[in-house]
Formats: sequence, structure tokens, C-alpha cells
Amino acid sequence: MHPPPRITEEEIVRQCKQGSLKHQELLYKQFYGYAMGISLRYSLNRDDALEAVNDAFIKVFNAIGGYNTDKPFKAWLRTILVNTAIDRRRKDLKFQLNVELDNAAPIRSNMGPVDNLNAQDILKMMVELPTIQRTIFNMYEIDGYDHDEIATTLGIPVSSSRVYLSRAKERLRTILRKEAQNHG
Amino acid sequence: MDDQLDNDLRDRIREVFDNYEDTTADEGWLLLRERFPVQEKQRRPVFLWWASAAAVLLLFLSIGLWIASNKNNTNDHAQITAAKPVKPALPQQNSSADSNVQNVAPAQPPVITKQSPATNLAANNSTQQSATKLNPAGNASVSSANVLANNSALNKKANNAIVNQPATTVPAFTPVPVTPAATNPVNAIAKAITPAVQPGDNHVSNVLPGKKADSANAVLPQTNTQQFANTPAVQSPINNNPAKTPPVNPVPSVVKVKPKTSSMEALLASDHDQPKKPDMETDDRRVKFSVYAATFFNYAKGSQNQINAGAGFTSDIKLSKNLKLSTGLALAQNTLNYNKNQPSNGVAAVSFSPSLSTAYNTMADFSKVSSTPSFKNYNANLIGLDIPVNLKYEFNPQKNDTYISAGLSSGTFINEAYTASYSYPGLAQAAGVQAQTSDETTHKSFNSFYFAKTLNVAFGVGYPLGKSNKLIIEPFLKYPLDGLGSQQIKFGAGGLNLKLNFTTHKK
Repeated sequence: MHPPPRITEEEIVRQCKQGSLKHQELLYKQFYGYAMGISLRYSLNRDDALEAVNDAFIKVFNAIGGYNTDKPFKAWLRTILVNTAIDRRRKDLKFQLNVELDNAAPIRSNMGPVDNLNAQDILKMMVELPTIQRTIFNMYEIDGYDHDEIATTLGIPVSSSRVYLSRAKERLRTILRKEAQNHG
Repeated sequence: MDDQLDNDLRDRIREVFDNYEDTTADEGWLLLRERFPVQEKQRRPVFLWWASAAAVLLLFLSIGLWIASNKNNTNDHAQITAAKPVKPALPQQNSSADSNVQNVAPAQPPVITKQSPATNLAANNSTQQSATKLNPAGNASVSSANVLANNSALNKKANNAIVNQPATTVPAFTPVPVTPAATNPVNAIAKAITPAVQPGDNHVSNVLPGKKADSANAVLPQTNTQQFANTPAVQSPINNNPAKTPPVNPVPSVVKVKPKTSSMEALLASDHDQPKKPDMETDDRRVKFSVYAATFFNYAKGSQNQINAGAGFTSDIKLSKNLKLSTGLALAQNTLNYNKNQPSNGVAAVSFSPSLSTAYNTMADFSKVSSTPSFKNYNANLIGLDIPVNLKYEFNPQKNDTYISAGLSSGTFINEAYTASYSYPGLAQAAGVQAQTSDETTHKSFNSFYFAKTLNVAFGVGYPLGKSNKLIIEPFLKYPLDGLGSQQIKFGAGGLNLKLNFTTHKK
């Protein structure tokens, strides 16, 4: 048997467009880590993140026929993932809008300087943030949305988006400084 | 200061999560499959599409042929009914003859010259042939003089022509004692003519025993000459007597002599029997053709049975009364699915081994870690072109269409696709990642030809479908005698052929 050709991302996507189940599996497993990395930041826990990832991939498989292969697949997947994760947390987001922000419990962690933070440390920090702040922080700082897009997606005023982002960053700084003092 | 911290944190988060790796991809995929099982089912219709298409094709083909055969029958009846409106315009003496005329020359325009037997043959073929067989005494000996004399206007009544004809000596008429003649229209005409024979009626000479008629060729021109009688080209001498010119009558004069109305029923009854004659003749064809659609299971050691479909045509060449040689061409899809097993033959098994090391390259996108792959599953998809050569034994070809057949198949594969999948358990242990790869090789366009490597056994039962076709239900089994395809996989097939045979059913 001849050596198999290297399967590129474009080939996998092309086969997925034709409904190949095997290539759907390949696509899922190739981008699973990337998807979980996004989903975990928006979700309460791992199970919630996994459900969001699967929901997003189902949307991907259903809509991949209309996907423009000229654009990066990761960007398309990220958009679907963020929207899916937000949709799953939308009730919480509305509830969190009325929560007193300063009621959040102080973080208990052994994290060190920023450069030493790993995924678990970052997720622990984020869990300390109210859902609305965490979501806006992730959307703006990590996933590249602007405040207009965030306001539209979450159904909040642009000014609120700015305020929540500011408060999220402030809270994270506080957490980091406390941790630095604990380790210092 | 705060901005710097924010930027550092943002960059760190991006770095960490952009390269985030998770070991639970397989579990996640299984969960997704539980929630999203539709995709797997969607591929089934693709496999069955061939079967559906072939079945629909067969259905439309059979309906079309059935309609076509019915149309031929209705056309015969339409010709009869189309001529009937003329009847009331005729004198009563000729009314019965008018109906009979259609058996001789149905809706034929008048022909002027003698050289048109072929033209008339097309329309009058069956009747004329019958006339030839049943009425050997009939002849084409009508002289050209008589023909010319018989020429009359297209719509001229035959009686006028008769009256104006030169006298021909006609001895006492004796009906031809041919047995099937009782139901034959021509013979019936002859019988009907008998009492009405008049001296001077040269048309009666068609059935005179004294006349010479040896072949259909002799009869055909004779029939044509009878039609000449109505040709306008020579109508002038006859039209000299306008008082005798009858109303519109496109019927040739030959049968208008017959006055008996009692024979009409016999003629109509016999007319219904006529189309069956060519059917009997087609039954004697040495070669018969069929098209068929097949639905079957592929089987092989270690493989799950896969439903597939195919279509093709066959030709049956008659060797003896009960024995036929059946051959043809078929296009069929064959799929095999080995889970946790490899095909049992040597070539296919060996072909996996070299690919193991290279298979990892396929998954380079997933991980940078190498490990020994383990076989997971193997699929083969072959679109084959099959040429069967079978001997068919019909149990009782005269009464039914039950038969058995056996033979060997040769052929090639238009397309061969083999897919092997591997998992990497070592990789999972080392890096917490379990990945899967797919190794696919496709051989296109007649990569190999196999000769007599499949044994065919079949049993068929035919059912009449319309008047000229048969639907044959044929369970079959194809047993592999050797490996097939580039991977030399021994696989067979068993299923059902739905076959449409383009011949008549047995009486």
C-alpha cells in the first residue's frame, strides 16, 4: 500500500463538506483542544465546556457546507464557539447583570507571576469573576471582539460593556497582586 | 503599571489557551455522536441510491414497454373502428365486406403502381402472411389488364368496378380446406365470397383454386393490384357511368364482393387472434436480452455484511431446448468493513504493515509525538464491472420460466478505494492524547482484471409483464474462488436480481 498523503486542514474541511463521517471525526479531534481552550474560559466547569464544544461542532457540521474556505477555519470555529458558549450562559449573564460585583469571594490560589500561570491557574482566576465580567473580558481581551460587538451579542449597552471590562481587569489585577504578595 | 499587568495577563492567557491541549477528544467525540447520530445514518441512502435508481429505471422501463405493447394492440382495434364509420355509406351488400377490408388493407392509401408491395407489406404484413399460409390457392395472377380495368376512383364502390370489368371465367369456387382458415380473415373472406361469386369479377380470382400462387411475393402484388382498382389515375373509363358511382368508399374493391354479414363476426373474432402470431415467432429467438437491478449483501471473512446494489444487462443465447448460455455486463458496488480485523488474505494484510509508520504522518497536525499505531478498522469500496458467463437450464421452457443457472464471472473494478484507520495508544499514554488517522489509497480505472474468479449460482422465476415482457425474480449467490481487486480480498455476494426480459411469456 502506498504511503498515505498528509491530510491537510483544507482536505478535511472539504471531505466534511461532502458529509464524510471519518473526516468529521478528524476535524473534531484536530480542533478539540483549541475549542476546549475557548469554551473553558466561558463556562462554569469542564462538563459545561464540553457540552458547549459539542454544540458548537454540531453547528459546524451542519453549516460547513456554507463555510467559505478562503477564511481561516479557526476564526470561524471560534466565532461559533463563543456564541454557543454565551448562548448557554445567557440566563446566567442576565442574572449576573444585577449582582453586586464586589460580593465575589476572594481567590485562594498558589499562582505566581503572570508568566508562570498555566491554564488551570487562569481558569481559577476567571471563576472568581462574575459571569458577565468574565465573558466580556474574554470576548474583548482574548477573542478580539470590540465593545460594539459585545454589546450587540450580549444585548447590553456599549457603556456597560466598557464598565464590566474595566471591573474585570481591576479584579484580576487585585487577584494577581494578592497572589504575588502571598508568594513574595 | 496596571496596563502593563493587563497586557501581560492578556498575552499569557492567549498563549496558554491558543495552544491548549485536551486529552478527552475521544470521549468528547463519543458524546457528540450520541447527541448527533444523524450524520452516520445519512450515508446509508448514498449506498442505497444505486438500488433505488436502478429500481426506478426498471419500473419506468417496464411501464413504458407495457404501454407500448398495449398501444400496438389498441392501434389494431383503432384501425377497425376508424373504418367502421364508412360502413353506413355503403350499400348493404358491401357492409360486411367493408369490415373485412381492414384485414387486407387497413387504412392504406391507394397505390397506383405495382412496385409498392413493400409499402403495403408494412401495413398488411400479418394479414398477407396469413393469406399466404392459409390460402395457397390464392394468387397474384391477376393480369395487368384486369388491374387497369379495375382501376376506379378512390371512393368508388367496388361493385361498379366489378360491373365494368371484363368478364373473367370463374369456375365454381371451392374453399381452401386449410384448418386454421376458419379463424383467418382472408379465408373467411374467401368463404364469404363463395356464394357471391359472379362471372366477370376478377377479384374473386384471388381465391380461385385454379390459380397459381406459391409465395407471399405472389400474394402481395396481388393485394396491391386490388388496391389499384380504386386508383383515380384510371378512373375515367369507369366514371363514365356516374349513376353507378357510389358514395365515398375508400375500401379496396377486392372484398366488397362478399355479401354475407354472418362472416363478419368470424372475421372480427379472428382478427383478435392475429397479433399473437408474431409473438409466437419471437419466442423462437435465439438471443434474448434482459436488464436487471440487483440488491445484495457483500460477505467476506471478518467483514460485516454490507448492503449494496448494482445493475446490468444479460443476453441469453439458446443452445438447446432447455439450455441457454447467459452472459452480459453488470456494474455493482461492493463494500467491505472490517472492524478490529484485517482481511484474511495475504496481500491485504501485508499492505497494512508498511503503512503503519507512514500513517503517523497523516496525524502530524494533531501531535508531534510518535507512537506505534494499532489497527482500528478497514474499509474497502470497489465499483466492479462484472462479466458473467453462465449456463442456464430451464425446467420447462414451453410452460414456465423457472430455471437455474451457474457459471463463472470475470471482470475488473472501475474504482477501488481502501481505507485503513489506526489509533495510537502509545501516544495517548505518553502525551495524554489519543488520535486516529486514516490511510486511504485509491486505485482508479481498471487497475486489475480477474478471470473466472467468482462462481455464480442463481435460481429464477419469471412472471409475465404485459404481453411481450417478463419480470424475473432471481435470487443469486456469488462465491469467491480467489481474491479480487488490487488487495486480493476474497469476498462474495448474495442477493436478489429483478430482471426485465424483453421477450414474450410462455404460452
